[in-house]
Amino acid sequence: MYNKKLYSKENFNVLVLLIVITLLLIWISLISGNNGIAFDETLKIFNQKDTFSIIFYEIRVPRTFAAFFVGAALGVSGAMMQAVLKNPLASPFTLGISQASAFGASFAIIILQAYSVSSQFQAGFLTAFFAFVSSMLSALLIISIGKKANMSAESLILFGVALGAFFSAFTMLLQYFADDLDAAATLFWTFGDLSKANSFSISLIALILIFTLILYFRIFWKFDALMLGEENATSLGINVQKLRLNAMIIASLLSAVSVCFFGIIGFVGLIAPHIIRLISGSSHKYVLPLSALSGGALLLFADIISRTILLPITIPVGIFTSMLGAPLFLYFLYKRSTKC
Amino acid sequence: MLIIRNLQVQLKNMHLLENINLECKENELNVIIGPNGAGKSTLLKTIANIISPNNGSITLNNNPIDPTQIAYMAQFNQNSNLQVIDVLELSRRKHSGMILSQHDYDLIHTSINEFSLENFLHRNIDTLSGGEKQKIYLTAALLQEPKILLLDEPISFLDPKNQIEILEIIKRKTHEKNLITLAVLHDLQSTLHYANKVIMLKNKNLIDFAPTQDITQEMISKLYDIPCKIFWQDGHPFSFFGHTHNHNHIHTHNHKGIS
Repeated sequence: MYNKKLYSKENFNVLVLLIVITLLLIWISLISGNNGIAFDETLKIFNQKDTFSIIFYEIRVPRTFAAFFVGAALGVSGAMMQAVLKNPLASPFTLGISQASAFGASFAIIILQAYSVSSQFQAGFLTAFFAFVSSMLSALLIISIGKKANMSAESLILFGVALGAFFSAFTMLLQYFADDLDAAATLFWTFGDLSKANSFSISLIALILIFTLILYFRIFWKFDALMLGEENATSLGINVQKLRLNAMIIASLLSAVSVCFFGIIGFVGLIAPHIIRLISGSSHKYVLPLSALSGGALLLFADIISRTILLPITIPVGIFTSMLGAPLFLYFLYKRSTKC
Repeated sequence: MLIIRNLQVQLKNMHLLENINLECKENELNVIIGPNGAGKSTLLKTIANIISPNNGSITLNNNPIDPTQIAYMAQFNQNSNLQVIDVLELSRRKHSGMILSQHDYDLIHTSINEFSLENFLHRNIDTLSGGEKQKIYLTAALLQEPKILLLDEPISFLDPKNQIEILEIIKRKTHEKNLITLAVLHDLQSTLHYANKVIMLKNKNLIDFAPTQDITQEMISKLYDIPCKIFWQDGHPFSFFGHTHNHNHIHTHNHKGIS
């Protein structure tokens, strides 16, 4: 039967399931701390006493929301890059945006001595600012040179990989000449750590994410048309060059803003859209919003594990996403190859 | 009427089409034939505004062509991982954007019934057979309600039954919807049976443009640089490519043929 609803019943169920999983993970994230996952703390949320209230609002709430919004932002960013480059390998990490932001952060820490000249908050801001500028410059460099040379999507990704290696080399060069403390600080920055979350960074990321989702969900069908090939999209009246350029800039902004505050969090941007493509197909009415949910859920899950697996030590979440991401990715690739 | 005047297409330093002049009428199926690399696909893409011409003009009823007046079906369709229904709806979103109107839904519903697509709607289009795929892409092209329908090799790689089915749809819809249809075909037999007019391209140039009944075996032989015979029987043309029976070329065909 032909159904007029935007979402088919099956995919509506996927949406509901993802929302339920996300809410569950938010709940678990809010009740886990130094004692591991403490289910008896659920009641305390509604009946807060002084110390718990401080821990809850100063540490757990920001961390939880940071995990969700950063994961969602990386998921949407990856989904958009994969769509306009029509390549499953595209993500903020493979396009060198993460490596460029690591270079920017290292520059701020080692050359500008961010942490020795100013307060902790200012230092964090300065580092984030340079990470952001560096990653946006790298993204714009890829996009503009790609456009000028009329590069294919594949060449753009290869260029991104090369540029990523280039920035990594400069980061290592800076670290080699840095003193122990600064080198350690830059290394720690690249781990990807959500404990730095504050209301400013979270609301900025959330704002850009929601803006992007509203803007691009309205034209999700243009991404679908691109899936049928550039010629088909053009014949449907779509300006492919313009769509690709704008979407790349917005997607880069989304990932640059996430990475600059929290460091490199690999694999989420690559894997979150793939999970949705495997379950719901590649129509972007599913891929765009559901990648946000799957990315958010993925990072929440990774963060909970990284906080509770080696109690009382908290592992930086960036280390864990890559650990979790590789086997998960392999599993989905395996599932796909056996399905076809 | 689709009028093409002095059309010239060039990509970097490579000439793809030179000085093409054509007039195609409504309610007619124009088939483009010619050797590989003659510029057949380029001509379609230029009309579809996928390639911009360096010179010349393409007009529909004396106005420049708007993308909404054209539907184009590509020669090669990439794997898209889309569901069939997504592909069909895409054709209407070209006009309506994100929110489809009742009219759009009615059109889609009618097409689904007309082409019996009920069982495919939620299938991944990449997993369908060649014939099913082409039928869906053709349906999607027709759903765009074009004035000009451009089809690049719509029946290549299909079995005879599917070839006939697709060609019948193209022919019928061209008359029903009063379309100007241009299709690239490699099959001369189908061309002679279904085309109203034949556009012959060779080496970037238009060498002949004639109603199907006026096509001679000399024209075809010249076009492909191989001998061709056309027979007429019971009002149907039959074509035959390949060897001639001279030059001491001795072999036997059965049914008491030449030996």
